[in-house]
Amino acid sequence: MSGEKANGKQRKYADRTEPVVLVRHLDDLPEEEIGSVDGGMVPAFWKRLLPPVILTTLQALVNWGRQNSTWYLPFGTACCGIELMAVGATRFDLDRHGMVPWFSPRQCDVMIVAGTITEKMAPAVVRLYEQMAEPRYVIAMGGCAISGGPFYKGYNVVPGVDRLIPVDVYVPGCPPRPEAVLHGIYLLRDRIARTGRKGSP
Amino acid sequence: MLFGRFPGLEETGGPAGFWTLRVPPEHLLELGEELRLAFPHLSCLTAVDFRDRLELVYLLYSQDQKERLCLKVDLPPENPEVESVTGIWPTADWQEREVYDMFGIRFRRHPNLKRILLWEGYEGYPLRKGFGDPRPPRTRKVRPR
Repeated sequence: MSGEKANGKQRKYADRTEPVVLVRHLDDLPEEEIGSVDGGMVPAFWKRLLPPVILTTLQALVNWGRQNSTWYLPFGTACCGIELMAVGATRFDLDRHGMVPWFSPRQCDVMIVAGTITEKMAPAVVRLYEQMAEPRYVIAMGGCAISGGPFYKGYNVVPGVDRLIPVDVYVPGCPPRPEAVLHGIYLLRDRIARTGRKGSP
Repeated sequence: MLFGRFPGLEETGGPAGFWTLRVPPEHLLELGEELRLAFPHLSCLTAVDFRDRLELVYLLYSQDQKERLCLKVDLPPENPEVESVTGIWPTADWQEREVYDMFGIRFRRHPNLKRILLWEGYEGYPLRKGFGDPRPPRTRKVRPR
């Protein structure tokens, strides 16, 4: 058994690592293959009338749903927050990715930390992060959220929000262009799509 | 007139557009009472650390005369203490708290002298020259895989 697993020949369905989303249009298949799609349980002429069959792993389906409805908590504490508003507004329009700004952590999937985090703000960041439901993701937007930025040596500035909470995507810039933020969001969507695979969080 | 009444008062260099006076700390309150009607507005109160001394800077403005006056007070770096001018210019309340927060200068007879920007229990005064960061270093948090 273990040898077969090592060869990769006989793996369990749940162990499939690659997300498979396959739409089979039965009309395109020849008669004898239609009969063998489900092992011959359903007669072929019925299958012609049924809608196309979607074959996927449950994990991949869940990931697909998650990456297309990542509501975000805009944690704008400085000028990056203004730029984040620009990303959310009509020209760049995060809504078309299913990203809705939502000002309650309990309904949010991703927290976009945009701005300097001071020592006084730090407990609020941690509390809001802990109030978010799993799975939760964090995007550090701008130099201040990544490393403290120009205030790195400041007596009251946390040198990077990753000192408080784990960060998934870093978007550098001061502030980043909206295109850069969108790129970071695409990276996060890739990351969500890889959830459940080996080596992924 | 003022120079005769307050010994130690001298004219000195200051910001452009300001007539600048260096005031001995013991005469600050009296002089402030004297200047209160002429300069009703204390527009700025701050301090400078010169290592061998701390210098308090009061910027006064007169709305009627469009005149500006700068008062400078030298204090020793150890145990700096000076009389509060809150009774003369009420706006000095928060500004003195900020100077206390950043430089550790204590103001006698201040109604509520505690830290204004930093939190209670913070060690040290950040704008002093010999300031070292008291915070312990934090490690980077990484999502477990």
